[in-house]
Amino acid sequence: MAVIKAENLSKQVSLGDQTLSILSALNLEVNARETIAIIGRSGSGKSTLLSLLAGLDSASSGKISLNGNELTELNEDGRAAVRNQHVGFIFQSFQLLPHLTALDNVMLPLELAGDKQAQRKAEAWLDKVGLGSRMHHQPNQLSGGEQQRVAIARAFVTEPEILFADEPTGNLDPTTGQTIVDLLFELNAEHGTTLVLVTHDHQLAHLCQRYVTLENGALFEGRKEDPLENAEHEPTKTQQTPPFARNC
Amino acid sequence: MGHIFKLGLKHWRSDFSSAEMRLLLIATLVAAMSMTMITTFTDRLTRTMEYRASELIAGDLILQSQNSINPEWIKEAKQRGLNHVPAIVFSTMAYANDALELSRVRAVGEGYPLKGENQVTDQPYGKSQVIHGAPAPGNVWVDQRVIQALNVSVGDTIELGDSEFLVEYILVQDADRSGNFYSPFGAIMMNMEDLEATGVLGPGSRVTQKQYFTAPSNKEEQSLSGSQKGSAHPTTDDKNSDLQAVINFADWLKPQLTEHERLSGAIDSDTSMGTAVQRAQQYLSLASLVAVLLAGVAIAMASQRFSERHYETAALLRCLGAEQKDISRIFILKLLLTGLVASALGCAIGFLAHYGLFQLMQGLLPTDIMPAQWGPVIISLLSSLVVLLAFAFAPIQQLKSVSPVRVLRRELNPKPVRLNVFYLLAIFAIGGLAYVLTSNFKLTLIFVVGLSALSLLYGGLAAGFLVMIHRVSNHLPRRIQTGFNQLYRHRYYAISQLGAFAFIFTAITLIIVVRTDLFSRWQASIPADTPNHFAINVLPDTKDEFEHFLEQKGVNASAFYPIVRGRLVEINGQEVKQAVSKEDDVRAVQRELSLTWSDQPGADSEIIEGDWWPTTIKPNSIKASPSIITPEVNRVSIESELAQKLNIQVGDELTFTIVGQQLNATVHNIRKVKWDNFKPNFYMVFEPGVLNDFHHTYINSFYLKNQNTELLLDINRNFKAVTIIPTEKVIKQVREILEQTTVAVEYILMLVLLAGVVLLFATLLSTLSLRRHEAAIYRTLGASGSYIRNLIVYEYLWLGLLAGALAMMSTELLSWALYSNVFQVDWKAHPVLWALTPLFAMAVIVVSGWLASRPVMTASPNRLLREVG
Ligand SMILES: Nc1ncnc2c1ncn2[C@@H]1O[C@H](COP(=O)(O)OP(=O)(O)OP(=O)(O)O)[C@@H](O)[C@H]1O
Ligand SMILES: [Mg+2]
Repeated sequence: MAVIKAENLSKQVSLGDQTLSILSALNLEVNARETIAIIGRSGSGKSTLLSLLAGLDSASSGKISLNGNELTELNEDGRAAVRNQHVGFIFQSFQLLPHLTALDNVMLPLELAGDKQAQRKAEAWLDKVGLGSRMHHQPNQLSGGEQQRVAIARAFVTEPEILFADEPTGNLDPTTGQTIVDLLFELNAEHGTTLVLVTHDHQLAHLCQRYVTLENGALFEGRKEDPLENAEHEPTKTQQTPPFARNC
Repeated sequence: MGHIFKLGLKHWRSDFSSAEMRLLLIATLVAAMSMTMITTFTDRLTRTMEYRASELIAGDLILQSQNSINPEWIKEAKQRGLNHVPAIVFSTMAYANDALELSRVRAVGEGYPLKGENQVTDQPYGKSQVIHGAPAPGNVWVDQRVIQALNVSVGDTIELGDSEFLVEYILVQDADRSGNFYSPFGAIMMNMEDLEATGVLGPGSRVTQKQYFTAPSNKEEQSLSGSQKGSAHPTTDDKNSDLQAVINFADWLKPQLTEHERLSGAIDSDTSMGTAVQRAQQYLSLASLVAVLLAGVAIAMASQRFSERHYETAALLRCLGAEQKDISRIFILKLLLTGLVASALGCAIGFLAHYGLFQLMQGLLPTDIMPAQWGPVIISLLSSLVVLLAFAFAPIQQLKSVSPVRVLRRELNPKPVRLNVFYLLAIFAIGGLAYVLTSNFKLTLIFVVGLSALSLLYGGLAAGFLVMIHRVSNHLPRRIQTGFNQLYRHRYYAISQLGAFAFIFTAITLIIVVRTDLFSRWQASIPADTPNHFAINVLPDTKDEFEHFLEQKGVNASAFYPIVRGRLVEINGQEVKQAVSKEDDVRAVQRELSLTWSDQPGADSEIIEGDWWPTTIKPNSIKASPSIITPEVNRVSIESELAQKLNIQVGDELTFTIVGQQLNATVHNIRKVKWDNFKPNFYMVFEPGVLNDFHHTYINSFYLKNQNTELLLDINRNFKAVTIIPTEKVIKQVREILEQTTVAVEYILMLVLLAGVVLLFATLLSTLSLRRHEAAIYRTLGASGSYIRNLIVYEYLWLGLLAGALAMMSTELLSWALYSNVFQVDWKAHPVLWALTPLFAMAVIVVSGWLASRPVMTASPNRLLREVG
């Protein structure tokens, strides 16, 4: 059964008087419990695709169904409800709220849903990611790896069916990155979550059951030639952090 | 809903220490603080001044009637807790030593005067002393005129009707000063208990019944003063009086008055005191308005920044499944909580600070200041909340529309809010508050319309300036050019910052300019040699002699004005009483007027409609008045306020009765009179010759340096008929009020300045993170600290110059509008301002900008970039 199904998906953005076509008539199906990696050059539109699949943004045309919900038929608030119930996120830049403690950050999605057990569940998840003793620390008191663990705990705490991760190790050194990846896959297997992972990392992509390549606005099953090798050394077009902060 | 509320509360608590929250907190706090301080202070001072002004008429409210006063009204006043005391005023002959004198007698009830005090002396022109209460039964107090006319002194007896009275004191000043200065009669004050025995009041006698009312007062104090002179007299310093009760009573009474009754308040604009208090009030309310305005701008800046700093949070919350309305709720809740804490704190500090203000001004202010009330504090609290919500609403709406995709693409900002409905709402909110604060519709209107127009203009002008300078910037010296380019690059922020700075400097310069102009003009209106004596009842045949006498003694005297007593009875053949609506309280139509004639309009008055009659006769015509030929048409000049109240235009036909005879005259022009110059002023001035057939006396005013008893007695000996009325006391009181308000205004000015500077910092801080980020990148790219420093200094210089120029223009515009519409003074351009405002703005912005961005210049690029994230 496909939990994610995108048909004829396309996305254009207008830049002044020009329109930039990022995705065109793209199709993708992801089954329940499947792990899938999306790879592609920088600027190929991976993050854009992820934001559409996760219902963060609306497509220019095409259809997306997520866990049986037709995203394209929902308005923003409708999609927000779907995100809250069915989707978890992990980002390259962690996206923790700086003034909240680790615990509060993890509780956030539960609190938004009005879950009365928020604190207990969040504590349990922080324990699980090995931060039981750091619960009351704020993000700036935690290392990058620790911050990403908090983000992982936050992603799993609502027990989502689908998890989206955009370059989860992009801001981490290789060793730390490895432990984060291990944690992610371990938890994912344990909870049978569907995982959609965007990455540059060759090895990381191989950990997934399946991977697709994004090029010229369309998806290709498997590795096409070997774009990963090149992509590593090309200057990135849309940088989210200053160059030296990114540990390649 | 409940869980969103909890979430908001939690986030608010953890956000509390963040820089943007602190900025919002401080802006709101300063706003609440300055509003509370100013409004509480102003409120207490104004009530004190009103109170003191009401001392001058022996009560807060006077009800006058030609008939007897409805007892139901007195009952109502009692029920409302007002104090009241009756008086009956009538004319009768006083008799002693075979001499007769027609006198105005005031028979007063127990407790007179409710406010203020009578002044008496026991020797002619002797040192006057304050006396509590009124004459005891059997005694009378008579004025100098009666003393002279009847040739009596203190301790002698005089007769009124069937009774004899002991002259206990010479009356120098009646507590009720609402009467006419120029009355040609002697004045006598007696106790009401004696009235019946005199038998002077028959059924047909013309009497005026008066009732004085004052606010409810403290009972203990009343009993304290009960021992004095046998009359229960509430002291003048009853601090708990509540003028509101009086105002309510007046509102209740007004609709029931008939044409025979007249109600007058403590402050009428045609007295010097009224003018002084009114002006002070107007200025103080302008200051409080400016405080609200600064608050509004500060809060707008702070909430814009608050919102910008929360894009990330909003995006993440959306990403995690928060709905748009949840976002609104969370942030509005945060805002409300911040507002409540900040305004409560600000109000508390402001309230304490106003005590400090009174403390600082001890000695200059009267010792009995009216107690503080909750009203101004509550209004300030609500105002700062309303201002916060009104201005923060648009930025919060912006947060709602932050796209959740922003978690992936940081540069996705929501559309900037420009002028939209919410800002219009904010303007309405400010306008509403302004009206509450000033209760002056015109002032509010000028402010709100003027400022919204200006704020629209600011955007356009600032953008225009930038584009224009950008065109020519190639010709500028390199550093200056680099600074400008920097500003130009930031133009999105620059324009809003420019607007904010322009507002701040407009507020500051406007307050300074208005203060300087108003007070110098005001001070000039009572110069050191302001006439402090009036000479009345100068008979035509002794006038030249008297004039000569004064000249010889070196006394600086005004011109002599002839006076003929008369009443205005008809306007264009219609009876005046019908022409005037009942509510309009037009004193001039109910009492006898002093009519005069002149061939000059008078130095201090201004013809605003029509023209003055040609001076066909020789300049010193007044001297030769009896020989002036009666003109063919009777022409009269009327005072502008009276003309307005009675709806009289140039060309209207007025009918007067003068000692039973009728006289018609055509209104030839309308004249604006300065009532506060302590010189003889008149509602009606006729063309010389018109009043030839009527008996007249002369009046003039003069200045005596010290209490010159010798000279006054000399006048007394040589000119039996002339009466001298000292006005020193009133002048002193006006001066005192002026001094008090000047000091108050100075402190409030400081406060506005302080608020302005705090807001300036808030504004500068609002782009600090942008500048940090930029500086970090420059530093990484190898720019030296001094390069960045220059960049910042020159950019701020430009910012200051442009903001100063904008502020200068708007100050001139606003001051012009305020002067001609509210303060009624002439406007002149302020060239000094043109030079100083931009310089001042540049200095302030560069120095504070420098202080604010010092960390940017010294920190390592690594640290800066890490902070920026
Ligand atoms: N809202 C937008 N406005 C303008 N351009 C956009 C927008 N969204 C995406 N783009 C452009 O679309 C292209 C794809 O962007 P996207 O972030 O999806 O790439 P990516 O594959 O995730 O790159 P990277 O590996 O560097 O993260 C880029 O060229 C980007 O500039
Ligand atoms: Mg990307």
